[in-house]
Amino acid sequence: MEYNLTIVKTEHLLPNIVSMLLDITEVSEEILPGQFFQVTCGGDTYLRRPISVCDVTEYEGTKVLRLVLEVKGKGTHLLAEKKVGDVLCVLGPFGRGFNLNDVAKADLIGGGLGVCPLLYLTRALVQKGVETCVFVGFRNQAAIFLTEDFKALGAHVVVSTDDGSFGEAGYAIQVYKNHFTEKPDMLYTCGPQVMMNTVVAFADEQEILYQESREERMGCGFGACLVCACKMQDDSMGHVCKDGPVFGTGMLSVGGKVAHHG
Amino acid sequence: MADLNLSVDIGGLKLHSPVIAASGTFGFGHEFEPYADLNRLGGISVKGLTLKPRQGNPAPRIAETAGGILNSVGLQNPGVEAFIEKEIPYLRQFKTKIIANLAGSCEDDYVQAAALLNEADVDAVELNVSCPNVKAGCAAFGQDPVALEGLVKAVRKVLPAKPLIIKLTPNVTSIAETARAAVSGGADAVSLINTLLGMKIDARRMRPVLANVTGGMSGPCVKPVALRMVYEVSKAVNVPIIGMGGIETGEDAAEFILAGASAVQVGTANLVHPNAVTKVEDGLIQYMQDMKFTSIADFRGKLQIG
Ligand SMILES: Cc1cc2nc3c(=O)[nH]c(=O)nc-3n(C[C@H](O)[C@H](O)[C@H](O)COP(=O)(O)O)c2cc1C
Ligand code: FES
Repeated sequence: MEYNLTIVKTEHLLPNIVSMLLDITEVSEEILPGQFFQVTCGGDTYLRRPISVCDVTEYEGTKVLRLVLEVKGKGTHLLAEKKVGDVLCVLGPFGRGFNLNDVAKADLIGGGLGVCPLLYLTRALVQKGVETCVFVGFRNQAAIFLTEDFKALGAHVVVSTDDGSFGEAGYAIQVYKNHFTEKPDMLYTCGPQVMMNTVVAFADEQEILYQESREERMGCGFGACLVCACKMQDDSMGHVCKDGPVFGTGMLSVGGKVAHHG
Repeated sequence: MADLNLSVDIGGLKLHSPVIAASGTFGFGHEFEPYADLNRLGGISVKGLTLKPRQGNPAPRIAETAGGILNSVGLQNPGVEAFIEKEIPYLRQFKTKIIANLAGSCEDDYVQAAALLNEADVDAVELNVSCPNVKAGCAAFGQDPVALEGLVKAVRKVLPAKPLIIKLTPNVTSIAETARAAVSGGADAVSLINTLLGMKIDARRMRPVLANVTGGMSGPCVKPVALRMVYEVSKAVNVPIIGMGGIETGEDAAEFILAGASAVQVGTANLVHPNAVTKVEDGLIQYMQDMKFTSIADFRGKLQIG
Protein backbone atom coordinates (compact mmCIF):
# COMPACT_ATOMS: atom_id res chain seq x y z
CA MET A 1 0.00 0.00 0.00
CA GLU A 2 1.01 3.66 -0.05
CA TYR A 3 2.53 5.12 3.08
CA ASN A 4 3.99 8.47 4.08
CA LEU A 5 6.91 7.61 6.33
CA THR A 6 8.83 10.10 8.45
CA ILE A 7 12.62 9.98 8.45
CA VAL A 8 13.94 9.61 12.01
CA LYS A 9 17.63 9.25 11.21
CA THR A 10 19.97 9.65 8.25
CA GLU A 11 23.63 8.83 8.09
CA HIS A 12 26.36 8.59 5.45
CA LEU A 13 27.97 5.16 5.80
CA LEU A 14 30.40 6.11 3.03
CA PRO A 15 30.57 9.29 0.93
CA ASN A 16 28.23 7.64 -1.61
CA ILE A 17 26.22 5.34 0.66
CA VAL A 18 23.35 6.73 2.71
CA SER A 19 21.40 4.94 5.43
CA MET A 20 18.01 6.20 6.57
CA LEU A 21 15.58 5.04 9.21
CA LEU A 22 11.86 5.55 8.58
CA ASP A 23 9.15 5.41 11.23
CA ILE A 24 6.85 2.48 10.35
CA THR A 25 4.57 2.61 13.37
CA GLU A 26 1.64 3.01 10.93
CA VAL A 27 2.58 0.05 8.75
CA SER A 28 0.62 -3.03 9.71
CA GLU A 29 1.72 -5.16 6.74
CA GLU A 30 4.51 -7.58 7.44
CA ILE A 31 7.80 -6.60 5.78
CA LEU A 32 9.87 -9.60 4.73
CA PRO A 33 13.59 -9.91 4.03
CA GLY A 34 14.22 -9.50 0.28
CA GLN A 35 11.23 -7.24 -0.36
CA PHE A 36 11.53 -3.66 -1.60
CA PHE A 37 9.71 -0.33 -1.55
CA GLN A 38 9.02 2.05 -4.43
CA VAL A 39 10.16 5.42 -3.15
CA THR A 40 9.11 8.85 -4.46
CA CYS A 41 12.25 10.98 -4.82
CA GLY A 42 10.66 14.34 -5.66
CA GLY A 43 12.31 17.04 -7.75
CA ASP A 44 11.85 16.42 -11.44
CA THR A 45 11.98 12.64 -11.18
CA TYR A 46 8.86 10.93 -12.47
CA LEU A 47 9.20 7.26 -11.56
CA ARG A 48 9.60 5.98 -8.05
CA ARG A 49 12.87 4.19 -7.27
CA PRO A 50 12.93 0.61 -6.03
CA ILE A 51 14.96 0.38 -2.80
CA SER A 52 15.36 -2.93 -1.03
CA VAL A 53 14.64 -3.40 2.63
CA CYS A 54 17.95 -3.35 4.48
CA ASP A 55 16.50 -3.96 7.91
CA VAL A 56 13.44 -3.69 10.10
CA THR A 57 14.37 -2.85 13.64
CA GLU A 58 13.82 -0.44 16.51
CA TYR A 59 15.32 2.99 16.99
CA GLU A 60 14.78 4.81 20.29
CA GLY A 61 11.65 2.77 20.94
CA THR A 62 10.15 3.29 17.46
CA LYS A 63 9.67 0.56 14.90
CA VAL A 64 11.75 1.57 11.87
CA LEU A 65 12.49 0.50 8.33
CA ARG A 66 16.11 0.90 7.31
CA LEU A 67 16.90 1.75 3.71
CA VAL A 68 20.49 1.96 2.52
CA LEU A 69 21.12 3.41 -0.89
CA GLU A 70 23.96 4.22 -3.20
CA VAL A 71 23.91 7.77 -4.52
CA LYS A 72 24.33 7.31 -8.24
CA GLY A 73 21.51 8.98 -10.17
CA LYS A 74 19.14 11.93 -9.94
CA GLY A 75 16.67 10.08 -7.73
CA THR A 76 19.09 8.74 -5.17
CA HIS A 77 20.80 12.16 -5.08
CA LEU A 78 17.51 13.74 -4.07
CA LEU A 79 16.92 11.05 -1.45
CA ALA A 80 20.38 11.57 0.00
CA GLU A 81 19.53 15.23 0.63
CA LYS A 82 16.50 14.39 2.77
CA LYS A 83 16.64 15.38 6.41
CA VAL A 84 15.26 14.03 9.67
CA GLY A 85 11.58 14.98 9.84
CA ASP A 86 11.09 14.85 6.06
CA VAL A 87 8.39 12.50 4.82
CA LEU A 88 8.94 9.89 2.12
CA CYS A 89 6.01 8.63 0.10
CA VAL A 90 6.49 4.91 -0.52
CA LEU A 91 4.57 2.06 -2.09
CA GLY A 92 5.13 -1.43 -0.84
CA PRO A 93 6.38 -3.69 0.52
CA PHE A 94 6.61 -5.41 -2.84
CA GLY A 95 8.02 -8.64 -4.18
CA ARG A 96 8.61 -12.19 -3.12
CA GLY A 97 11.34 -12.15 -0.52
CA PHE A 98 13.70 -14.81 0.80
CA ASN A 99 12.23 -18.12 1.90
CA LEU A 100 13.52 -19.26 5.29
CA ASN A 101 11.57 -22.51 5.59
CA ASP A 102 13.41 -25.78 6.27
CA VAL A 103 16.76 -24.07 6.67
CA ALA A 104 18.90 -25.03 9.69
CA LYS A 105 22.25 -23.93 8.24
CA ALA A 106 22.53 -20.99 5.85
CA ASP A 107 25.42 -19.39 4.00
CA LEU A 108 25.04 -15.88 2.59
CA ILE A 109 27.21 -14.30 -0.10
CA GLY A 110 26.86 -10.59 -0.75
CA GLY A 111 28.79 -8.21 -2.94
CA GLY A 112 28.88 -4.42 -2.80
CA LEU A 113 25.46 -2.81 -2.43
CA GLY A 114 24.00 -6.32 -2.58
CA VAL A 115 24.89 -6.82 1.07
CA CYS A 116 21.97 -4.54 2.10
CA PRO A 117 19.05 -6.98 1.82
CA LEU A 118 21.17 -9.69 3.43
CA LEU A 119 21.28 -7.75 6.71
CA TYR A 120 17.55 -8.17 7.40
CA LEU A 121 17.78 -11.75 6.15
CA THR A 122 20.58 -12.39 8.63
CA ARG A 123 18.49 -10.91 11.43
CA ALA A 124 15.57 -13.19 10.54
CA LEU A 125 17.77 -16.29 10.24
CA VAL A 126 19.57 -15.68 13.51
CA GLN A 127 16.26 -15.04 15.23
CA LYS A 128 15.03 -18.42 13.98
CA GLY A 129 18.12 -20.07 15.42
CA VAL A 130 19.58 -20.85 11.98
CA GLU A 131 23.35 -21.34 11.90
CA THR A 132 24.27 -18.38 9.71
CA CYS A 133 27.54 -17.59 8.01
CA VAL A 134 27.83 -14.35 6.00
CA PHE A 135 30.46 -13.68 3.32
CA VAL A 136 30.54 -10.04 2.28
CA GLY A 137 32.82 -8.83 -0.47
CA PHE A 138 33.77 -5.31 -1.50
CA ARG A 139 36.03 -3.78 -4.16
CA ASN A 140 38.52 -2.43 -1.65
CA GLN A 141 38.81 -1.18 1.92
CA ALA A 142 37.28 2.19 1.06
CA ALA A 143 34.12 0.50 -0.21
CA ILE A 144 33.35 -1.49 2.95
CA PHE A 145 30.15 -0.72 4.85
CA LEU A 146 27.56 -2.43 7.06
CA THR A 147 29.95 -5.18 8.20
CA GLU A 148 29.72 -4.17 11.87
CA ASP A 149 25.92 -4.40 11.65
CA PHE A 150 26.19 -7.99 10.45
CA LYS A 151 28.54 -8.85 13.31
CA ALA A 152 26.20 -7.21 15.83
CA LEU A 153 23.49 -9.68 14.84
CA GLY A 154 25.62 -12.56 16.04
CA ALA A 155 26.27 -14.21 12.68
CA HIS A 156 29.66 -15.51 11.65
CA VAL A 157 30.96 -12.83 9.24
CA VAL A 158 33.81 -13.09 6.71
CA VAL A 159 34.81 -9.82 5.06
CA SER A 160 36.81 -9.80 1.86
CA THR A 161 38.04 -7.29 -0.70
CA ASP A 162 38.77 -7.90 -4.36
CA ASP A 163 42.18 -6.24 -4.07
CA GLY A 164 43.05 -7.65 -0.65
CA SER A 165 43.29 -4.19 0.96
CA PHE A 166 41.15 -5.45 3.87
CA GLY A 167 40.11 -8.86 5.18
CA GLU A 168 40.54 -11.82 2.94
CA ALA A 169 41.63 -11.25 -0.65
CA GLY A 170 39.66 -12.21 -3.75
CA TYR A 171 36.15 -12.29 -5.12
CA ALA A 172 33.47 -13.25 -2.59
CA ILE A 173 32.79 -16.58 -4.30
CA GLN A 174 36.47 -17.53 -4.18
CA VAL A 175 36.70 -16.65 -0.52
CA TYR A 176 33.56 -18.71 0.07
CA LYS A 177 35.08 -21.69 -1.73
CA ASN A 178 38.23 -21.38 0.39
CA HIS A 179 36.12 -21.70 3.53
CA PHE A 180 33.74 -24.29 2.16
CA THR A 181 33.69 -27.51 4.18
CA GLU A 182 30.08 -28.46 4.76
CA LYS A 183 27.03 -27.90 2.53
CA PRO A 184 24.48 -25.45 3.93
CA ASP A 185 20.74 -26.11 3.51
CA MET A 186 20.52 -22.86 1.57
CA LEU A 187 22.91 -20.50 -0.15
CA TYR A 188 21.53 -16.95 -0.30
CA THR A 189 23.13 -14.39 -2.56
CA CYS A 190 22.73 -10.76 -3.59
CA GLY A 191 25.10 -8.59 -5.56
CA PRO A 192 26.22 -7.84 -9.10
CA GLN A 193 24.68 -10.34 -11.53
CA VAL A 194 28.12 -11.61 -12.63
CA MET A 195 28.91 -12.43 -9.02
CA MET A 196 25.56 -14.15 -8.47
CA ASN A 197 26.09 -16.19 -11.64
CA THR A 198 29.28 -17.65 -10.16
CA VAL A 199 27.47 -18.39 -6.91
CA VAL A 200 24.59 -20.07 -8.74
CA ALA A 201 27.02 -22.12 -10.84
CA PHE A 202 28.81 -23.30 -7.68
CA ALA A 203 25.52 -24.10 -5.92
CA ASP A 204 24.29 -26.13 -8.89
CA GLU A 205 27.60 -27.96 -9.16
CA GLN A 206 27.53 -28.85 -5.45
CA GLU A 207 23.78 -29.51 -5.52
CA ILE A 208 23.08 -26.88 -2.91
CA LEU A 209 19.75 -25.05 -3.00
CA TYR A 210 20.18 -21.34 -3.59
CA GLN A 211 18.17 -18.13 -3.63
CA GLU A 212 19.40 -15.08 -5.55
CA SER A 213 17.99 -11.56 -5.31
CA ARG A 214 17.97 -10.00 -8.75
CA GLU A 215 18.08 -6.42 -9.85
CA GLU A 216 16.21 -5.22 -12.93
CA ARG A 217 15.14 -1.81 -14.05
CA MET A 218 11.56 -1.24 -12.94
CA GLY A 219 8.62 0.94 -13.81
CA CYS A 220 5.77 0.25 -11.43
CA GLY A 221 7.26 -2.36 -9.09
CA PHE A 222 3.96 -4.22 -8.67
CA GLY A 223 3.41 -6.18 -11.87
CA ALA A 224 1.48 -3.78 -14.09
CA CYS A 225 3.87 -2.48 -16.73
CA LEU A 226 5.84 -5.62 -17.74
CA VAL A 227 9.02 -3.60 -17.85
CA CYS A 228 10.93 -6.04 -15.63
CA ALA A 229 10.17 -9.24 -17.53
CA CYS A 230 12.12 -12.41 -16.88
CA LYS A 231 11.82 -15.85 -18.37
CA MET A 232 10.71 -18.64 -16.05
CA GLN A 233 11.84 -22.25 -16.19
CA ASP A 234 8.73 -23.32 -18.14
CA ASP A 235 9.37 -20.52 -20.67
CA SER A 236 6.42 -18.50 -19.38
CA MET A 237 7.04 -14.82 -18.72
CA GLY A 238 7.46 -13.58 -15.18
CA HIS A 239 8.13 -10.25 -13.49
CA VAL A 240 11.24 -9.59 -11.42
CA CYS A 241 9.14 -7.23 -9.27
CA LYS A 242 6.36 -9.68 -8.47
CA ASP A 243 7.65 -13.22 -9.01
CA GLY A 244 11.01 -12.08 -7.59
CA PRO A 245 13.20 -10.24 -6.89
CA VAL A 246 14.29 -13.41 -5.06
CA PHE A 247 14.44 -16.48 -7.28
CA GLY A 248 15.29 -19.96 -6.08
CA THR A 249 16.93 -23.00 -7.64
CA GLY A 250 15.39 -23.83 -10.99
CA MET A 251 12.83 -21.03 -11.05
CA LEU A 252 14.27 -19.11 -14.00
CA SER A 253 15.13 -20.40 -17.42
CA VAL A 254 18.89 -20.26 -18.06
CA GLY A 255 19.91 -16.62 -17.77
CA GLY A 256 16.31 -15.58 -17.14
CA LYS A 257 16.48 -12.91 -19.82
CA VAL A 258 14.31 -12.08 -22.77
CA ALA A 259 16.96 -12.59 -25.38
CA HIS A 260 15.50 -12.20 -28.81
CA HIS A 261 13.39 -9.52 -30.37
CA GLY A 262 9.66 -10.05 -30.62
CA MET B 1 -26.91 20.25 -5.98
CA ALA B 2 -28.03 18.68 -9.25
CA ASP B 3 -27.28 15.04 -9.88
CA LEU B 4 -24.15 14.41 -11.87
CA ASN B 5 -24.41 12.14 -14.87
CA LEU B 6 -21.00 10.81 -15.80
CA SER B 7 -22.19 8.29 -18.37
CA VAL B 8 -21.05 8.47 -21.97
CA ASP B 9 -21.75 6.53 -25.15
CA ILE B 10 -18.65 5.80 -27.20
CA GLY B 11 -20.02 4.61 -30.52
CA GLY B 12 -22.31 2.07 -28.84
CA LEU B 13 -20.02 1.36 -25.91
CA LYS B 14 -21.96 2.63 -22.90
CA LEU B 15 -19.77 3.65 -19.97
CA HIS B 16 -21.01 4.71 -16.53
CA SER B 17 -17.90 6.86 -16.18
CA PRO B 18 -15.70 8.51 -18.80
CA VAL B 19 -12.53 7.37 -17.01
CA ILE B 20 -10.88 4.33 -18.58
CA ALA B 21 -7.58 2.62 -17.71
CA ALA B 22 -5.17 2.78 -20.67
CA SER B 23 -3.76 -0.29 -22.33
CA GLY B 24 -0.38 -1.58 -21.16
CA THR B 25 -0.41 0.35 -17.90
CA PHE B 26 -3.13 -1.57 -16.07
CA GLY B 27 -2.32 -5.18 -16.93
CA PHE B 28 -5.57 -7.11 -16.70
CA GLY B 29 -6.60 -5.21 -13.58
CA HIS B 30 -5.44 -7.62 -10.86
CA GLU B 31 -2.58 -5.49 -9.54
CA PHE B 32 -4.85 -2.49 -8.98
CA GLU B 33 -7.56 -4.12 -6.90
CA PRO B 34 -5.89 -3.17 -3.59
CA TYR B 35 -5.66 0.50 -4.62
CA ALA B 36 -8.64 1.41 -6.76
CA ASP B 37 -12.30 0.36 -6.85
CA LEU B 38 -12.43 -1.19 -10.32
CA ASN B 39 -16.24 -0.88 -10.26
CA ARG B 40 -15.87 2.88 -10.52
CA LEU B 41 -13.91 2.67 -13.76
CA GLY B 42 -15.86 3.20 -16.96
CA GLY B 43 -13.71 0.61 -18.65
CA ILE B 44 -10.39 -1.16 -18.72
CA SER B 45 -8.41 -1.29 -21.93
CA VAL B 46 -6.36 -4.40 -21.34
CA LYS B 47 -2.71 -4.99 -22.19
CA GLY B 48 -2.27 -5.09 -25.98
CA LEU B 49 -3.20 -8.55 -27.26
CA THR B 50 -1.85 -10.38 -30.27
CA LEU B 51 -3.05 -13.55 -31.98
CA LYS B 52 -0.12 -15.54 -30.59
CA PRO B 53 1.67 -14.98 -27.24
CA ARG B 54 4.64 -12.62 -27.38
CA GLN B 55 7.66 -12.26 -25.10
CA GLY B 56 8.40 -8.64 -25.84
CA ASN B 57 11.73 -6.86 -26.20
CA PRO B 58 14.99 -7.31 -24.28
CA ALA B 59 15.69 -5.24 -21.13
CA PRO B 60 16.15 -2.44 -20.31
CA ARG B 61 12.63 -1.65 -21.42
CA ILE B 62 12.13 1.62 -19.57
CA ALA B 63 13.87 4.94 -19.19
CA GLU B 64 12.85 8.07 -17.35
CA THR B 65 12.65 11.42 -19.09
CA ALA B 66 11.64 14.86 -17.83
CA GLY B 67 7.95 14.53 -16.93
CA GLY B 68 7.50 11.01 -18.17
CA ILE B 69 8.98 7.80 -19.42
CA LEU B 70 10.05 5.91 -22.52
CA ASN B 71 9.08 2.27 -22.80
CA SER B 72 9.94 -0.53 -25.17
CA VAL B 73 8.00 -3.40 -23.62
CA GLY B 74 7.10 -4.56 -27.11
CA LEU B 75 3.65 -6.09 -26.73
CA GLN B 76 4.50 -8.85 -24.28
CA ASN B 77 1.16 -10.67 -23.82
CA PRO B 78 -0.29 -14.16 -23.37
CA GLY B 79 -2.20 -14.11 -26.69
CA VAL B 80 -5.89 -13.57 -27.40
CA GLU B 81 -7.01 -17.09 -26.56
CA ALA B 82 -5.37 -17.16 -23.12
CA PHE B 83 -6.87 -13.72 -22.45
CA ILE B 84 -10.36 -14.93 -23.32
CA GLU B 85 -10.04 -18.02 -21.19
CA LYS B 86 -8.22 -16.67 -18.13
CA GLU B 87 -8.74 -12.93 -17.86
CA ILE B 88 -12.30 -12.23 -18.98
CA PRO B 89 -13.87 -14.23 -16.09
CA TYR B 90 -11.80 -12.18 -13.63
CA LEU B 91 -12.63 -8.83 -15.20
CA ARG B 92 -16.33 -9.68 -15.41
CA GLN B 93 -16.59 -9.61 -11.62
CA PHE B 94 -16.48 -5.84 -11.83
CA LYS B 95 -18.97 -3.31 -13.06
CA THR B 96 -16.57 -2.03 -15.70
CA LYS B 97 -16.43 -2.46 -19.46
CA ILE B 98 -13.82 -4.73 -20.99
CA ILE B 99 -12.03 -3.17 -23.93
CA ALA B 100 -9.78 -5.61 -25.78
CA ASN B 101 -6.75 -3.76 -27.11
CA LEU B 102 -5.58 -5.64 -30.18
CA ALA B 103 -2.32 -5.42 -32.10
CA GLY B 104 -0.84 -7.37 -34.94
CA SER B 105 1.96 -7.37 -37.41
CA CYS B 106 -0.12 -8.16 -40.49
CA GLU B 107 -3.75 -7.85 -41.55
CA ASP B 108 -4.33 -11.58 -41.24
CA ASP B 109 -3.30 -11.60 -37.58
CA TYR B 110 -5.67 -8.73 -36.79
CA VAL B 111 -8.56 -10.36 -38.63
CA GLN B 112 -8.16 -13.78 -37.03
CA ALA B 113 -7.84 -12.30 -33.54
CA ALA B 114 -10.77 -9.92 -34.09
CA ALA B 115 -12.95 -12.84 -35.18
CA LEU B 116 -12.16 -14.58 -31.88
CA LEU B 117 -12.97 -11.40 -29.94
CA ASN B 118 -16.26 -10.98 -31.80
CA GLU B 119 -17.41 -14.22 -30.17
CA ALA B 120 -15.87 -13.42 -26.78
CA ASP B 121 -17.40 -11.63 -23.82
CA VAL B 122 -15.71 -8.27 -24.38
CA ASP B 123 -17.54 -4.95 -24.68
CA ALA B 124 -15.43 -3.32 -27.37
CA VAL B 125 -12.25 -3.76 -29.37
CA GLU B 126 -9.58 -1.08 -29.54
CA LEU B 127 -7.25 -1.61 -32.48
CA ASN B 128 -3.70 -0.62 -31.68
CA VAL B 129 -2.37 0.38 -35.07
CA SER B 130 0.20 2.63 -33.52
CA CYS B 131 2.52 0.69 -31.31
CA PRO B 132 5.98 1.86 -32.35
CA ASN B 133 7.80 -1.07 -30.82
CA VAL B 134 7.11 -3.85 -33.23
CA LYS B 135 9.16 -3.64 -36.33
CA ALA B 136 7.12 -5.93 -38.50
CA GLY B 137 4.58 -3.41 -39.71
CA CYS B 138 2.48 -2.32 -36.75
CA ALA B 139 3.49 1.30 -37.14
CA ALA B 140 2.95 1.14 -40.89
CA PHE B 141 -0.84 0.69 -40.58
CA GLY B 142 -1.23 3.66 -38.30
CA GLN B 143 0.95 5.88 -40.45
CA ASP B 144 -0.53 5.09 -43.86
CA PRO B 145 -4.15 6.24 -44.28
CA VAL B 146 -4.79 3.88 -47.20
CA ALA B 147 -3.44 0.81 -45.40
CA LEU B 148 -5.32 1.88 -42.25
CA GLU B 149 -8.67 2.18 -44.01
CA GLY B 150 -8.15 -1.26 -45.56
CA LEU B 151 -7.29 -2.80 -42.19
CA VAL B 152 -10.28 -1.24 -40.44
CA LYS B 153 -12.61 -2.50 -43.18
CA ALA B 154 -11.21 -6.02 -42.92
CA VAL B 155 -11.57 -6.06 -39.13
CA ARG B 156 -15.03 -4.50 -39.26
CA LYS B 157 -16.19 -7.39 -41.43
CA VAL B 158 -15.34 -10.01 -38.81
CA LEU B 159 -16.37 -7.82 -35.88
CA PRO B 160 -19.95 -6.83 -36.67
CA ALA B 161 -21.17 -7.23 -33.09
CA LYS B 162 -18.83 -4.97 -31.07
CA PRO B 163 -17.97 -1.28 -30.99
CA LEU B 164 -14.68 -0.80 -32.85
CA ILE B 165 -12.28 1.86 -31.59
CA ILE B 166 -9.15 2.74 -33.56
CA LYS B 167 -6.23 3.92 -31.47
CA LEU B 168 -4.23 6.46 -33.41
CA THR B 169 -0.52 7.08 -33.36
CA PRO B 170 0.85 10.59 -32.89
CA ASN B 171 3.85 9.68 -35.06
CA VAL B 172 2.31 11.10 -38.23
CA THR B 173 2.26 14.42 -40.06
CA SER B 174 -1.52 14.74 -39.98
CA ILE B 175 -3.49 12.84 -37.36
CA ALA B 176 -6.70 14.30 -38.78
CA GLU B 177 -6.00 12.41 -41.98
CA THR B 178 -5.48 9.03 -40.27
CA ALA B 179 -8.56 9.67 -38.12
CA ARG B 180 -10.64 10.23 -41.28
CA ALA B 181 -9.24 7.03 -42.79
CA ALA B 182 -10.23 5.07 -39.66
CA VAL B 183 -13.75 6.46 -39.81
CA SER B 184 -14.19 5.71 -43.51
CA GLY B 185 -13.04 2.18 -42.78
CA GLY B 186 -15.93 1.83 -40.34
CA ALA B 187 -14.59 2.85 -36.93
CA ASP B 188 -17.20 3.62 -34.26
CA ALA B 189 -14.75 5.76 -32.31
CA VAL B 190 -11.09 6.78 -32.20
CA SER B 191 -8.72 6.91 -29.23
CA LEU B 192 -5.54 8.96 -29.05
CA ILE B 193 -2.69 9.34 -28.47
CA ASN B 194 -0.50 6.29 -28.31
CA THR B 195 3.13 6.88 -27.32
CA LEU B 196 5.42 9.31 -29.13
CA LEU B 197 8.50 7.64 -30.57
CA GLY B 198 11.61 8.85 -28.79
CA MET B 199 14.99 7.85 -27.44
CA LYS B 200 17.33 8.42 -24.54
CA ILE B 201 21.10 8.35 -24.72
CA ASP B 202 23.67 7.76 -22.01
CA ALA B 203 26.44 10.08 -23.14
CA ARG B 204 29.06 8.63 -20.76
CA ARG B 205 28.50 5.12 -22.02
CA MET B 206 27.84 6.42 -25.55
CA ARG B 207 24.84 4.09 -25.76
CA PRO B 208 21.07 4.25 -25.99
CA VAL B 209 19.44 3.55 -22.62
CA LEU B 210 16.77 1.24 -24.06
CA ALA B 211 17.95 -2.11 -25.44
CA ASN B 212 15.50 -1.55 -28.29
CA VAL B 213 17.28 1.81 -28.99
CA THR B 214 13.98 3.70 -29.38
CA GLY B 215 10.80 3.61 -27.31
CA GLY B 216 7.41 5.20 -26.80
CA MET B 217 7.23 8.36 -24.69
CA SER B 218 4.29 8.90 -22.35
CA GLY B 219 3.33 10.73 -19.20
CA PRO B 220 2.73 14.44 -18.43
CA CYS B 221 5.39 15.52 -20.96
CA VAL B 222 3.18 14.42 -23.89
CA LYS B 223 -0.02 16.11 -22.73
CA PRO B 224 0.29 19.30 -24.82
CA VAL B 225 0.82 17.24 -27.99
CA ALA B 226 -2.07 14.94 -27.08
CA LEU B 227 -4.44 17.86 -26.42
CA ARG B 228 -3.58 19.49 -29.74
CA MET B 229 -4.20 16.22 -31.56
CA VAL B 230 -7.52 15.53 -29.84
CA TYR B 231 -8.56 19.06 -30.78
CA GLU B 232 -7.54 18.54 -34.42
CA VAL B 233 -9.26 15.17 -34.67
CA SER B 234 -12.46 16.56 -33.13
CA LYS B 235 -12.60 19.06 -35.99
CA ALA B 236 -11.98 16.33 -38.58
CA VAL B 237 -14.37 13.50 -37.68
CA ASN B 238 -17.73 13.17 -35.98
CA VAL B 239 -17.30 9.88 -34.13
CA PRO B 240 -16.65 9.95 -30.36
CA ILE B 241 -13.05 10.47 -29.24
CA ILE B 242 -11.26 8.92 -26.29
CA GLY B 243 -8.44 11.26 -25.29
CA MET B 244 -5.27 10.36 -23.44
CA GLY B 245 -1.66 11.37 -22.89
CA GLY B 246 -0.30 12.43 -19.52
CA ILE B 247 -3.59 12.57 -17.63
CA GLU B 248 -2.99 12.57 -13.86
CA THR B 249 -5.81 14.72 -12.46
CA GLY B 250 -9.47 15.48 -12.99
CA GLU B 251 -8.49 18.86 -14.37
CA ASP B 252 -6.30 17.14 -16.99
CA ALA B 253 -9.27 14.99 -17.98
CA ALA B 254 -11.48 18.08 -18.24
CA GLU B 255 -8.96 19.67 -20.62
CA PHE B 256 -9.26 16.69 -22.98
CA ILE B 257 -13.06 16.82 -22.81
CA LEU B 258 -13.03 20.55 -23.58
CA ALA B 259 -10.78 19.77 -26.56
CA GLY B 260 -13.45 17.39 -27.86
CA ALA B 261 -13.01 14.01 -26.14
CA SER B 262 -16.05 12.11 -24.84
CA ALA B 263 -13.98 9.91 -22.53
CA VAL B 264 -10.39 9.71 -21.32
CA GLN B 265 -7.82 7.06 -20.57
CA VAL B 266 -5.27 7.19 -17.78
CA GLY B 267 -2.00 5.42 -18.54
CA THR B 268 1.47 6.04 -17.18
CA ALA B 269 0.10 7.71 -14.03
CA ASN B 270 -1.11 4.26 -12.87
CA LEU B 271 2.48 3.06 -12.61
CA VAL B 272 3.43 5.75 -10.12
CA HIS B 273 0.08 6.24 -8.38
CA PRO B 274 -1.88 2.99 -8.47
CA ASN B 275 -5.01 4.85 -7.40
CA ALA B 276 -4.66 7.41 -10.22
CA VAL B 277 -7.92 6.42 -11.94
CA THR B 278 -9.86 7.13 -8.75
CA LYS B 279 -8.13 10.47 -8.29
CA VAL B 280 -8.92 11.45 -11.87
CA GLU B 281 -12.60 10.58 -11.47
CA ASP B 282 -12.85 12.37 -8.11
CA GLY B 283 -11.16 15.41 -9.62
CA LEU B 284 -13.43 15.39 -12.64
CA ILE B 285 -16.51 15.29 -10.39
CA GLN B 286 -15.10 18.21 -8.41
CA TYR B 287 -14.48 20.15 -11.62
CA MET B 288 -18.03 19.51 -12.85
CA GLN B 289 -19.51 20.59 -9.52
CA ASP B 290 -17.39 23.74 -9.47
CA MET B 291 -18.37 24.55 -13.05
CA LYS B 292 -22.01 23.58 -12.52
CA PHE B 293 -21.95 21.00 -15.30
CA THR B 294 -24.28 18.05 -14.87
CA SER B 295 -23.15 15.89 -17.78
CA ILE B 296 -20.07 15.36 -19.92
CA ALA B 297 -21.98 16.76 -22.91
CA ASP B 298 -22.28 20.07 -21.03
CA PHE B 299 -18.64 20.83 -21.68
CA ARG B 300 -17.45 18.40 -24.32
CA GLY B 301 -15.77 20.35 -27.14
CA LYS B 302 -16.84 23.62 -25.51
CA LEU B 303 -13.40 25.14 -25.74
CA GLN B 304 -13.85 28.87 -26.19
CA ILE B 305 -11.53 30.39 -28.73
CA GLY B 306 -11.03 34.05 -29.47
C1 LIG C 1 4.46 0.59 -20.28
C2 LIG C 1 3.44 0.96 -21.33
C3 LIG C 1 2.87 -0.02 -22.13
C4 LIG C 1 1.92 0.30 -23.11
N1 LIG C 1 1.36 -0.70 -23.84
C5 LIG C 1 0.37 -0.40 -24.73
C6 LIG C 1 -0.32 -1.43 -25.45
O1 LIG C 1 -0.07 -2.62 -25.25
N2 LIG C 1 -1.26 -1.08 -26.35
C7 LIG C 1 -1.59 0.24 -26.57
O2 LIG C 1 -2.47 0.51 -27.38
N3 LIG C 1 -0.97 1.23 -25.88
C8 LIG C 1 -0.01 0.94 -24.99
N4 LIG C 1 0.60 1.97 -24.28
C9 LIG C 1 0.21 3.37 -24.53
C10 LIG C 1 -0.81 3.88 -23.52
O3 LIG C 1 -1.99 3.11 -23.54
C11 LIG C 1 -1.15 5.36 -23.80
O4 LIG C 1 -1.68 5.46 -25.09
C12 LIG C 1 0.04 6.29 -23.73
O5 LIG C 1 0.94 5.86 -22.73
C13 LIG C 1 -0.32 7.75 -23.47
O6 LIG C 1 -1.05 7.92 -22.28
P1 LIG C 1 -0.35 8.23 -20.83
O7 LIG C 1 0.55 9.40 -21.03
O8 LIG C 1 -1.49 8.48 -19.90
O9 LIG C 1 0.40 7.00 -20.49
C14 LIG C 1 1.55 1.66 -23.31
C15 LIG C 1 2.13 2.65 -22.50
C16 LIG C 1 3.05 2.33 -21.51
C17 LIG C 1 3.63 3.41 -20.67
S1 FES D 1 8.18 -3.09 -12.74
FE1 FES D 1 6.22 -2.97 -13.67
S2 FES D 1 5.80 -5.07 -13.94
FE2 FES D 1 7.63 -5.16 -12.81
